[in-house]
Amino acid sequence: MDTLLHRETEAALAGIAKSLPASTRDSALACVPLAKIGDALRLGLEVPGSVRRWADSLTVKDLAGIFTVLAEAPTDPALPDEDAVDLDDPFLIQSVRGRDEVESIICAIERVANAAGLALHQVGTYEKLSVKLSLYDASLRELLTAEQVTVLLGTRAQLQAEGSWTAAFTRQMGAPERESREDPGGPAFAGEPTEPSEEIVLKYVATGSLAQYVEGYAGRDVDFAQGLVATIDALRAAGEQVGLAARRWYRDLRITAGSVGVNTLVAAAAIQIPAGPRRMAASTGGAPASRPDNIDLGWLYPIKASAMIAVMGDQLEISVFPQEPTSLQLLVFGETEVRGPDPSGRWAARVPRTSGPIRLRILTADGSEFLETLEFSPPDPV
Amino acid sequence: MRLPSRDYRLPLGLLWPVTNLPARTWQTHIVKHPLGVGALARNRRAPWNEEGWDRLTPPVITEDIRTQALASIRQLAKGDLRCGVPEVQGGRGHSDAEELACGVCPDSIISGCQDVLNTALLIGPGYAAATEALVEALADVPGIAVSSRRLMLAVFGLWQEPQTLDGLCVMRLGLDRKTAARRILRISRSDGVRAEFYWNGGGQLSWRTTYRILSAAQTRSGPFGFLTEELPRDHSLGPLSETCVVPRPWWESHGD
Repeated sequence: MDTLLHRETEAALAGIAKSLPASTRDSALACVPLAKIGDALRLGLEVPGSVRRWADSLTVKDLAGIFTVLAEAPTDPALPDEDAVDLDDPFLIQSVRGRDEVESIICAIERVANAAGLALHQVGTYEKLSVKLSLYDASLRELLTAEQVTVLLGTRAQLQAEGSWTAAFTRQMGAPERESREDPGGPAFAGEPTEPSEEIVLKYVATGSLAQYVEGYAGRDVDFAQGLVATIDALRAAGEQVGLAARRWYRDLRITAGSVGVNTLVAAAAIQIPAGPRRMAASTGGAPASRPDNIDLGWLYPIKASAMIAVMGDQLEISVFPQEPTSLQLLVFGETEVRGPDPSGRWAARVPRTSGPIRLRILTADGSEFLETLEFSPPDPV
Repeated sequence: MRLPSRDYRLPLGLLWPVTNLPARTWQTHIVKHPLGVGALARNRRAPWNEEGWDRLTPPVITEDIRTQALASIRQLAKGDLRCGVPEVQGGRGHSDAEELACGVCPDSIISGCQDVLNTALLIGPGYAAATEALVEALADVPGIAVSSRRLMLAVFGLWQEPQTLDGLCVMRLGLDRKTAARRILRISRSDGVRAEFYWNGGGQLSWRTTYRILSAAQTRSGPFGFLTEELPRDHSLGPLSETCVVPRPWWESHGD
């Protein structure tokens, strides 16, 4: 492919190559070539050997310094309020493109780290940056649809491959979904958002109710987000019910620091669902494992359904409860595919319990999809 | 308001002629940008000076002057007639940033507002001077047209010497994002100030807006992306759609 972006990226890399060898190890300045290296990698372009060697010469300390610079960079211009989104807004364009440029820098650094036998999360300050980006992305998902992000990215839209940070917008809350006020995710912000009450937060953590409101607010208010993390931690530690929505939100905040792969920021790891011996033992007194232990997953936002998993010895059975009985089209749980309710009217699928990830996919008649990977782990630590 | 103060001839046969701007148009831009109403209308929690017009050298506005300006505009009220911009009246986040009430301001108020912002407090002339400075950098010097690839080669070759970009102005051509139909010309300066013009028939330019993206200048790496940022392409321009204009002295020092 030969587009203006390809040509300009190649020219920028040629300029960087011409400037070498580097006489500086300034972290802020290193972002300039790294952004272009990342652009090239994402476009599938060849990076000149001298530029690659310069990048490979960066030490872990250098890389950590770059992450610190990015994590501490000013976040203005502020994102617009929900009722002030304008696709011609140069400040919003600057903000979205700046976010994508950081993605390229991370991409370039990941290549360097991997070549040195390291994962991103082993580069000291990466977690701080990934939390910042997660919060930013969550705020942006509250404002924009995938199509709008594409418009704002301009030619940088060409950099968005499958699994890119922008991919989450297609399955997250976009404008059409926000209009549906009866959505299990609950209403989005209307006007000046108010902080969700403790009652709402606890209900969200347990059942996923009002996910859009709580997660949206967390995306705008770092203090609230940190409080939500602490609440989830505390409830997990206490062995209380933590629904799939909260686990997913929690996972997406942390995944950026805990995963290895090309698209670390979005290639989400499986959600850990605690199930097994401790609760089984507690509930059965060590009785045979034939007695089911139910795990309430709560609401499966964005589809209008909730789910429950029964752990029955070496079997797992998921039951899905749609708001409208006829609204489901497909349920895929691991290798089991179900295209209709059983004779009792129940949507359920059973798979052997394994220690590996199990894919959960639910399609509804209106085209909504819930897609997630679950992994059944020992109970949350108490 | 006369903007520019004199005719400017730019490379590529372009002309920005002296124009008498309608009062409501000019006041809208001053209120939106230097006075910060645009920032407040975008985000209720943003600071009024998000664009940083108080941090230019010389500043176009200061906190004190802004306070005086708002008080003076509020005092223009006569009977039922008053400034209709809520943020000027002390509210926040009620304006539509794209359609400030200045556009339908009563004659007596807009006239008084002009006196306050353009004559008494000189905010308007400072904003106009900032706009003209961008064009001057490419008109009087004069500018030289180069392909965007050559510009990328030169600019990114300077990544270890960011000071070489200080004050650099870069002009690019393309289409406006809103309609993707109107041809525009944009000049960006390394400190985040940016002016846009409609490119009308016969190579005549008419001013569209001037704003400042302060964050583009707040990191040492920021200007590299800001200066080279593209506009939606106008394919009907042929090679011109990939053409940039930079000051000739800068190019002679740093170009390929």
